[in-house]
Amino acid sequence: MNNALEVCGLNKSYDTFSLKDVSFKIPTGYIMGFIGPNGAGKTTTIKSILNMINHQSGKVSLFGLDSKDYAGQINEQIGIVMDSPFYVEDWTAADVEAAVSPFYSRWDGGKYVNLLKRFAIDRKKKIKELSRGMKVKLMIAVALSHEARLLILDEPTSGLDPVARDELCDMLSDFVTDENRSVLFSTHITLDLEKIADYITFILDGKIVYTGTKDALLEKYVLVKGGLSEISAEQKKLIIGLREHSTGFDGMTETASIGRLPKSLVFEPITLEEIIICMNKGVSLYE
Amino acid sequence: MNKALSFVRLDYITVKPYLTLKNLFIFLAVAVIMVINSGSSASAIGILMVYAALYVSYPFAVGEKNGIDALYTTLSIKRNTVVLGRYLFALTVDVCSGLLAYVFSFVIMLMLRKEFNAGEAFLVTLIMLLVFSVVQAIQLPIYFKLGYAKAKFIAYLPFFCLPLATVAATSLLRNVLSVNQITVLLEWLVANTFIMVLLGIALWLAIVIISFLMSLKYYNKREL
Repeated sequence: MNNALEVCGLNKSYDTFSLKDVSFKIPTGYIMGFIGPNGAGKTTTIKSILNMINHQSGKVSLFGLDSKDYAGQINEQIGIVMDSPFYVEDWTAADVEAAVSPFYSRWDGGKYVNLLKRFAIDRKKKIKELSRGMKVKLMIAVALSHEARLLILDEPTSGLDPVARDELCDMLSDFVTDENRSVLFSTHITLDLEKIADYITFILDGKIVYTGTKDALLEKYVLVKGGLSEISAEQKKLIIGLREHSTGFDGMTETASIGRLPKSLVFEPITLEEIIICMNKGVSLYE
Repeated sequence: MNKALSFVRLDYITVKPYLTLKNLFIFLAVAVIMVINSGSSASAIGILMVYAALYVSYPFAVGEKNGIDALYTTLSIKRNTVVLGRYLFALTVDVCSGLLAYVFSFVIMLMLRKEFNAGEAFLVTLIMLLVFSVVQAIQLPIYFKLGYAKAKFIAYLPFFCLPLATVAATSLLRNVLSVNQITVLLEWLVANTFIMVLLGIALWLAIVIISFLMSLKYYNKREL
């Protein structure tokens, strides 16, 4: 299986935060969700992938090419969608085309016009006059107009209403119907990923704690609830993100550990959001 | 080079929304008032060149506000190209505004029915162009190193420091050389205009090249 993106042993240190040996890969033709709480290192990883910051060690390959040595060739094939556009807020959609098109050898002006029409974006409207959802759509229009093979999205859905988020998810699903296209979708709104992601990479405190298929992750853990008297101190160690309250406890455990816990406890399927919350609470235990 | 030229165009598109006629009319009005007061076209050229000099910093200001450096990376514009393109943009702005200032000063003098000395106006425009490009050569590395918000105060210092430096250099020259020696030197320079122009160009080129190399070094180190 070819990989659209391979990140291998990425390290980057700041005074108060560091990426530690970040490694993961996205197989071509799939959507990978990149999850983690705020400040976990999602944006730093993405900026390293895009060479916006210089990482201290590690390697990033896109479409089998080194991201630094072949930046020109690679970036032509990447579409970037961030939480807010990099475009000048007084530009119009027509200015955006005039600004970016000379730098893409496969820019398709007709396609851009059609996409603007499809997204109901007025070519003469200034970016600052567009809603957040429209801005995201504009970035997607640019990405699709230069035939990007990999979309990298960094928190594009934060602040969007459910309808706009659903539309975006549909667009991404459409995008990967061509098996040569892939998506890296960083978000902390995990509901979107539960709908469309094939793979999940989970980053916590600068370290990758899981990378693999979404289904395997959701099968790996279960939500567990019960009374405080039902588990021993030893068994509590098996609960990740243990939260004790007056009526009992809840938390998350590995499916493999169910046999070591009392049968009287309630085990339920877990969501990505609950995994993030429990992992975040139980990071020391997990390590 | 193609990418550098595309970058010059990108810089133009970046500042285009702020190149308003209203601003131009304000500067033209100021230019007219200055000509009325001084009776010379040089003041009109000067004020219009200041207007242009301000616009050279706009790509930094607008870019920083909108995070445009990240856009350059996504467009695969190498950092060397960004620096080269920005210098070419500054030069283009200087030359275009020099031409405009020359034409406007002619029109203003004509409207005010004053005598227009074409040769003198050309010389003033050329000197202004060189002075402003030297000021920009000092400013650009500061912008590339610190970004617009942090650099704007320091970057405007050359406008004030350059006249002071000229006065200081003149007084130093007076202390080191006698009046006679200075007179001889000036006479020699006037007699050897070609050498003087060559020396001027060489000095200007050296300043611009040093400035360019410094900008390159600073921008390559910056994280976006």
